Amino acid sequence: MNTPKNERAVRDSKALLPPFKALLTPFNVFAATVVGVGLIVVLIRFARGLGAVTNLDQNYPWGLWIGFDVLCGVALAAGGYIMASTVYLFGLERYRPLLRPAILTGFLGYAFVVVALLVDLGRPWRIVFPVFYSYGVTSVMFLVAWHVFLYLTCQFIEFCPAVFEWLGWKNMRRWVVRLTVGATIAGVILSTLHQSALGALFLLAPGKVHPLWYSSLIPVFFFVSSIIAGLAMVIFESTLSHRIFRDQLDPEHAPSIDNLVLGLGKAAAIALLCYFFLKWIGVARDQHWDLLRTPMGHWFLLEVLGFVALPCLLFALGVRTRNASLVRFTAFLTVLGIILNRLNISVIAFRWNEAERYIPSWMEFAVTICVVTIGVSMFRWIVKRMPVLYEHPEYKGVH
Amino acid sequence: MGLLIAASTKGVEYIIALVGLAAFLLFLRILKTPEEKDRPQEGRHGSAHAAK
Repeated sequence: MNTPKNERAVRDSKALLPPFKALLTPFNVFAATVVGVGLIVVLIRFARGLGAVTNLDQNYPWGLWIGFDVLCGVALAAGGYIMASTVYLFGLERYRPLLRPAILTGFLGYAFVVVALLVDLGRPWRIVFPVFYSYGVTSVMFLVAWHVFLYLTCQFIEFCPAVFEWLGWKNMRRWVVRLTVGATIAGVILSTLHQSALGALFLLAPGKVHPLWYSSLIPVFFFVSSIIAGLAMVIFESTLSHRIFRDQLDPEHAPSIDNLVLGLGKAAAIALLCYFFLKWIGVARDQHWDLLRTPMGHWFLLEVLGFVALPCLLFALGVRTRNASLVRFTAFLTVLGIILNRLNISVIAFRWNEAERYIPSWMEFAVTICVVTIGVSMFRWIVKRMPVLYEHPEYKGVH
Repeated sequence: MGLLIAASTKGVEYIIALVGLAAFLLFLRILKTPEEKDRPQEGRHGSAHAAK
């Protein structure tokens, strides 16, 4: 059954770009400025090296671009595999309205992780080396490179039906839909492995990461917290999407979104509870109780109590009282907590005892904001054209 | 003996894990909404159809 709203959305989506005057919105002007500054910095980085634009040195070889763009980017893009497994593998069909936005967020998240990594590593033409030419099979980075390459392919396959619906390629859509479950299973396996592998990278630095964050359980922490990040990010992203792209929503799905948010909040509360106890098992395993009384210990307590225990209780309260707004606020708090955790491990608690600490330069921030802005702009461009927040009228109920 | 086990590292880990498991089960109970409690159980031992 077609709705006038959907028909209008499909008709509007055919235009690749609006007229030039319509492009001059405050968001576009801001985005163009940020991207312009970022691209200039990227040009300087490739022309004159990392030292020209970053505050990185031999003590701090990984900075904001790895800590935020890569570690936070991968964790917050976990919504893709969480929602794909929820709908395709566990058969919870009622979460389908949140599936495509989550896959799109995941796909763009990973794509821009690769872009940021190329800016950090340099020599971008060698990106294909780990896949086709140079097999560093003993390196965790080799594992991460392969996983990201394969997982991006899986997510592309999962998102292809939306692209083909937009283009009107019915045969191609029918073929790619058949691959979806296979791509989802492969995607879940790959995500499990590379989310934890990113944590495993830090197992190589036992003397450099503060003992309260360093643990043999880091891979487990990274994987469990990626589930939390994925759930929180789906709630956060759906909250923003449903405000900004209200005209794109399916009228019959809009009222049920609160119920879906409560369901995700419940899952997040349970995952946070598990993560909270795992963190304390990590402290007990290495017997670092005395370090909790130091300034870094207070910082650790702030992370674990303020951004793990508190969101866990708030999610539970929100679910119990059926308060979707509280769950949405808590999702935002949780996203902040995940960012704090990844920055703690890679930047703040990394070489914490050095006299001269690493503080990112303004140019590092400019590139990070540029990458995020391009990601958000692409999400906006795609959502306004392809059937992401609504079902295409010709494929209603056909999955 | 119990105190000795608890004093050891592994003992503390197991205690935290046990408390976590208890909290997990309690949490599942707390988070069950009234509709979920009333919903007839699906599966082998009692499908929605059988409940009728």
